[in-house]
Amino acid sequence: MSTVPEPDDERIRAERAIAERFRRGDETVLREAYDRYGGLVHRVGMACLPSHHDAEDATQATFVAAWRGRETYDPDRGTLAGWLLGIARRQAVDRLRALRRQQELDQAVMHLAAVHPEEPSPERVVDRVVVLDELRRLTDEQRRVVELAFFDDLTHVQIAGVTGLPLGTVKSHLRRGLARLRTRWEVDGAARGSRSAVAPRPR
Amino acid sequence: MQHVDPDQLSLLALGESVDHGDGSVVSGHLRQCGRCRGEFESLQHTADLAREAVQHRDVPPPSEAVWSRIATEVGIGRPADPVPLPRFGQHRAPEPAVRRPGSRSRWVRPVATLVAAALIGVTGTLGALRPWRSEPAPATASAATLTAVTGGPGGASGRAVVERGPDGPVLRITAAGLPLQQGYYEVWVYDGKRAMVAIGVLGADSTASLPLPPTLDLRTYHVVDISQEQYDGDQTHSQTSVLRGSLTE
Repeated sequence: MSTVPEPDDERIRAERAIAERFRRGDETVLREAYDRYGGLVHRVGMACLPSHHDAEDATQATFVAAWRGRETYDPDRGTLAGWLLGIARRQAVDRLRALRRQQELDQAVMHLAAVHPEEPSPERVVDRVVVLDELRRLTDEQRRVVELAFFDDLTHVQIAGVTGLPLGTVKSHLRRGLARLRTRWEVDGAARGSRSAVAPRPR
Repeated sequence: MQHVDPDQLSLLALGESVDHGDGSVVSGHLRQCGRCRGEFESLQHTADLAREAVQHRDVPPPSEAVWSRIATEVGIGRPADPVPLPRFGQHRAPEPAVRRPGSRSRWVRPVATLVAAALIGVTGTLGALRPWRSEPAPATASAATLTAVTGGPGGASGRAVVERGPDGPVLRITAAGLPLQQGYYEVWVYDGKRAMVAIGVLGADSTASLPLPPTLDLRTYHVVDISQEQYDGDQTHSQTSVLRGSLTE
């Protein structure tokens, strides 16, 4: 459907190499994985958990659990990013559960009504974060067009007016951009992650 | 029956209405054709996710302290940046510029990692990018897990690794959880009884890479100790240790 531009081949190669070294336990690669995926993992915690502190703890626990369980990671069954996000999701789920238990206990003790604000599920957050990450990887022009549609709610005709690009180019950027985001969601999204990788349980 | 044009399907998924009055034809087709409907629904779902994701756009990356804690917890002796950054390089970076954490380094590092990742396998080039690393990588001779000394600041932890490089042994320290203070932290080796040798000062990021005297017998001086020191002109140990651990091979 869409052809993958050249730099992505390099990216995929580099990420495969990192994944392979990670599995083998090359110590220097943990920092590389952290630099590459730390932001992604952290975003999940920041979106799911109540405090910055909880999010940092979850990020730390995710990388420690991943490193200790690195032998269970199978590069043939999914990307390292997807596997790490699977662990991050479980970290968030477990922490939320513990926080809720505590909250319920407090409420029972103090006879307060339970308050559960509308929160996205950690699965949904992982999906969003993955799509957002891919959005950043589109070419500048493609990203600008797609962002105008998503975040500014412009129609393709309005986007053509704002950017000065021909209508056909705008439509093609929208189609290819959207298809690419979908592919990434299918590869690294939460549903896929839970099927494809056996992430170690957090301690 | 003709399937919906892919461009049009994407526009529909983004919430645009179909032009030229053929909306009923398209919606009729989508009702009947599972393939087009599946395509439409998955694209629409993707667009929804992207729109929701806008709120996660400006999340700051995790702080450098998170990395220190990870490195300490899994027992990796030091940060393994592929390019020498001044913040880890007080003893090896050529330029004396001090970089504020969270300014440029945040951008430099991912780019540097990408570059280095692209060079995996090209050992020579990679070696040139890491001037402080000899080929082959220095062997770890001994290591110690540093734990908080009773009565010291709680929650502090660290790791000490002795590496045998071509220029002699080097003691690498990574610590976390040390409170900021007026004075500074000094690294010592100790014979466990009475003699202590001052090795150097812990950097602001709670890491240090300190050359050891090649004649120093680490089987005697096997305890790594980090003390809290004041600017009082007194060169002896302050008697206030914060972290300590015994080197094992």
